[in-house]
Amino acid sequence: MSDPRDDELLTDDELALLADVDALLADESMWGGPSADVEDRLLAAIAEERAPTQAPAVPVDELAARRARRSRVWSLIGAAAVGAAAAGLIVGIVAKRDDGPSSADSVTSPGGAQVLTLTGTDLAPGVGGTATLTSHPSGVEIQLAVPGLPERTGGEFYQVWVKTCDGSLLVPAGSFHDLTDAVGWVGVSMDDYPVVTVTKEVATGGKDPSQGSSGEIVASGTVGDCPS
Amino acid sequence: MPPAVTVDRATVDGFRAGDDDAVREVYRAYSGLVWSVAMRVLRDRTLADEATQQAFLQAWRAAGAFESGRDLGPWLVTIARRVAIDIYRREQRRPTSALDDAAPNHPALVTMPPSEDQAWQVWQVRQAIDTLGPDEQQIVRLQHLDGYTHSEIAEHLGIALGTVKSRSFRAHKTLAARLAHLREPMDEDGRTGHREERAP
Repeated sequence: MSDPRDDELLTDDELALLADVDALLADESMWGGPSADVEDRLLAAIAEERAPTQAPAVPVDELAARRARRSRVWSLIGAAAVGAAAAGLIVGIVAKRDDGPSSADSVTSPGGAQVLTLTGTDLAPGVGGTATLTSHPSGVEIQLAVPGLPERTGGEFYQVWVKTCDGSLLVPAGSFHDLTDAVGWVGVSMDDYPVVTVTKEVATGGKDPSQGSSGEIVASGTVGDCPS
Repeated sequence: MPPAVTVDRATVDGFRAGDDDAVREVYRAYSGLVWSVAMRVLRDRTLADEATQQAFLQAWRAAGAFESGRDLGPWLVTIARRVAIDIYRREQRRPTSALDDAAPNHPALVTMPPSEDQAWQVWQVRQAIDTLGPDEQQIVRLQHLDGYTHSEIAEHLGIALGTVKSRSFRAHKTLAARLAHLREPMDEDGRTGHREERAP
């Protein structure tokens, strides 16, 4: 097997660098690309998400209405935060696409996972990311990818919540230093708690063992339809 | 720093707005890079295709939160790695079969997916390769992926040994220049050559 040392005019630094990346240069992942049909499949998936669909008939039962999922695009302005020691209500703008059962396989992961867009609030402008929700017998796995939020340490952390549309009930889904690549979990149905929020928190210690929400929402997203 | 794959600001804005032409342009500019990151994680072409499609779909969904004017690359690397890991975990949860039946490169047999810094390095090396001319790419591929000597390459391609050597030299010189930043001291987050193209 030949190697760059055959090229006598390369410097020692250049040879050392090429040695560093030799494993990658020899890896098949560097030398291929997606199949030709992936581009068209992508455009078709985007077109399907953008296409308006008919809204379902609204059952009398509010929870049943949330369970009647269809693909639609909508915007929600305003998010109410509840909990102890609220620093003020935070307004968030959320754009969401619902991967309902009528979506094509190429849009929804084969395991039925839903991908939710999280958008930063005024406390975290320009921040965006996703929450991938996967149902398991023991609960809902929430895989978070929210790059851009600064790391919180030293008794400060991010708390992920799921809550009802009216914000009256909220369930903690995990606490984190960083949400670039994190996994949370809840033991309730996303049908009943379709709003996902991320708040900034500070450990309050023995005086507040319940550690309720600070109300300082930095990012938010919603699954399904909350009545206006 | 190597010249990054770039698309102009108008195209990024069009991508954010879901314009088909802009989506195609962004896809064509970055799909090879995204696929390389996914393939590095998944080691399966079909799964890497799925991850590539899903990564761009997620990027389109989240594009409204992407700050116009920034380089899409670091953002797409993060999404690509994330999506690939999701698929990797899904594959690990599949019903098990006899270990002997598993392909050697099956994702379930891989111990850990690449870190974010490793994914970024994959992106950088792939990007450097893509900037080579086709003749030079061919030489580098035959040398490194296929393990050919210069003499074997000359015979395989039916060209003079001297031509092979000169193309090899130019290609490796170019790669070394475009990847020199990978040897820079790590920044405070443990990343090399990562200062100017951070994920948003």
